[in-house]
Amino acid sequence: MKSWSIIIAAILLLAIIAVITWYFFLRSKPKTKKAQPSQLLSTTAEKDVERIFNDEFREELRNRGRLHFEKIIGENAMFLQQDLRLTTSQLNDYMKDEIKRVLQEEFSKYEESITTAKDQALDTIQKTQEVIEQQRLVLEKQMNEEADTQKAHIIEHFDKNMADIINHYILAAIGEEIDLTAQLDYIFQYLEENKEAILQDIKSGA
Amino acid sequence: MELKLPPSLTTKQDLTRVHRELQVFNDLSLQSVMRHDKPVKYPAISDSLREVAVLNQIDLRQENACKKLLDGLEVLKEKAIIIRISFSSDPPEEILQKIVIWFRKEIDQHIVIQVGLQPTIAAGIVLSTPNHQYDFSLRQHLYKNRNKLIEAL
Repeated sequence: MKSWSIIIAAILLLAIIAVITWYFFLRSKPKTKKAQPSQLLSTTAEKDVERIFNDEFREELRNRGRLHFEKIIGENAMFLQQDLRLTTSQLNDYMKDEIKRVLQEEFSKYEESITTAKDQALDTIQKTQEVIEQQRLVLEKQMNEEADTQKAHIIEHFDKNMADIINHYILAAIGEEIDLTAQLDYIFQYLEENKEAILQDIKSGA
Repeated sequence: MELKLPPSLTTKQDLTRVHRELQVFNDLSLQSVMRHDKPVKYPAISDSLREVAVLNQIDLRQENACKKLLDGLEVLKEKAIIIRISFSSDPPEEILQKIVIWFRKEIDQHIVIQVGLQPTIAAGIVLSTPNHQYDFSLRQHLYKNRNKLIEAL
């Protein structure tokens, strides 16, 4: 507002200076010739202009112009404010949508990655479990075979040496008390049973 | 000459001992004859040699008969069938004689035995012929009947 007032005041000041200058130049010239009608007309018009556009009228024009200018400025400011609000709102919506979209994409990727990793982990765990189960079965089979072999070996060893073990205990218990005379019948019985074999053996050996 | 062996000659060592004794007897008798001893001095003989002489009806005072007996014992010493019998403990002489009698009656009359000791057999004997071994021990008896032992256990 202030700048417009200063501008209008400057224009009016220049107009006044122009009028004064023109007046002094025209009045100082010698009136050698008779005034022309066109000159009179213009002079008259200038006077009328001066009369019509006096200071009050100019002040009123300035006030009207200032008000109109303020009104336009206010309207534009209001439009600008509305545009700014609308733009801000749209920008907010846009940013919200963009952020939401980007976040959804990222979350989708993240979820997909998590799902993939989870599937891989489950797959790995399942394979590991299968391998462990297979190894367990193999080990169980080996252990059972080893246990069976050991058991059979122990039983075989026991069977093989049982006679010796019992013989050892009999010997330890009554070995010193067995009379050879009492064994003679037993010995002769065996000799009789194997007589032919002994005979054949000695004949063939001799 | 088919010599008969008395039951007292059970082992090869007995044969060797009797053979050596007979040789000494023969030498000493011969020396006494050559010295013209009157009467001829005969050395004392062991029961085993006497039994051999009696069993084979040999008069040891006759040089030829004595010589034949020596030869016969020499042959037996080299060629007699030897059977090794292992006992769980040192067997009495009468047991050995009974066993030898059975062998000489049933198998061969010139068999001699060699006695061994195997305390682990507990009872019975282990008989070894030149080609084979017969285990008549209690240990073998238990081993043959281990199924019955397992059933009993």
